[in-house]
Amino acid sequence: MTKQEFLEKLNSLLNDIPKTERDEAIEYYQEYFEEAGIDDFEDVLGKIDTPEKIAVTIKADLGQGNPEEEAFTERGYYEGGVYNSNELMRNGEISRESGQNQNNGQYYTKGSGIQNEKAPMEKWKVVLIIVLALITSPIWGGLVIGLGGILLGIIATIFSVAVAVVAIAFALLVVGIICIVVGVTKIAIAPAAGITTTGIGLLCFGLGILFVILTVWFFSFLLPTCGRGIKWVFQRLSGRRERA
Amino acid sequence: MVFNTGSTLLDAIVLAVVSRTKEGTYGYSITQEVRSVLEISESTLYPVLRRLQKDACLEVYDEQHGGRNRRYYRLTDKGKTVLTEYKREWISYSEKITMMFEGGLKDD
Repeated sequence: MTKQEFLEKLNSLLNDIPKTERDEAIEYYQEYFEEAGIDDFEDVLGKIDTPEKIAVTIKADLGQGNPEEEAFTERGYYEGGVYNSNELMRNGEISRESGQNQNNGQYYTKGSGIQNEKAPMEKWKVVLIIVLALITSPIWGGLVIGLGGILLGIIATIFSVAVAVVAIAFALLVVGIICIVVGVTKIAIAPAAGITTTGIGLLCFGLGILFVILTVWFFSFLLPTCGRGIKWVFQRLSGRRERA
Repeated sequence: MVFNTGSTLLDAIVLAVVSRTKEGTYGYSITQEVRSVLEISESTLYPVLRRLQKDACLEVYDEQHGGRNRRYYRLTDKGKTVLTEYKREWISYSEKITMMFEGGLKDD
């Protein structure tokens, strides 16, 4: 694009702004090319922004920010001071970064203001979530406590069943051994009673061994399985919370 | 340069550049001077100059130079006041930031 084409393009892009503004801009860039020593046939792109970008910049500046932006301006000097009425002061640095002005990027050299804009949004989100959580706390508070109660109940049941199984196994074995010993010693004196007692003792001892097997199975299989189940439930709950 | 140059700072820089020559200076020269310290594109300055001119911080006059017209920008009295204020603000701002960087500024 030669400088002539550039200026014509810029002129046509600016045809919706006042003629004086358009002429000013065209004159400025004409002079700029001359000062830069760009001849009539040289390609100007690469030395200067595209006419489209320049047109956007000029229009954005003519468009003017809305008066509300003043509220975001840090510099009290512009707001309450002598220069309150003029445009310079309306377009404070901070209001430009608020993203309302389309011209935003033009003033940045590197990096962008996008991150700056996002941070307060995130903060608001967090605050909102906390407020919501507090308001709804009677609902989910009850739920959480209820669920905790159920879980505690399950754990307590499992624990007591385990204790009971161990106790029964122990009792049966002890009773079995005592009965066998007593029975065997009584066989000579009273054979019927002695044999019956020995039989009961053997029965108890056998049941005791069965309960020992049950205990072993309980601790080696059922308990770890329950544990895994509870862990799974917790993971599901916390997983959901993270996603929410 | 990793820091953004806001439009107010850019206004201040342009005013400062223009104020350095008493008889004023022209668009291309201002652009080159600003570009020697800031990575801005050539087209950034026109709206700034135009706005400062409308705000009566800058005044323009045309002068023939080498057979063609050259538009010179010069600070008005208001422009001088504004620049003084900008400089004052900048000193307090940059001092605070520097103190912060060096670990000072806390009361305790």
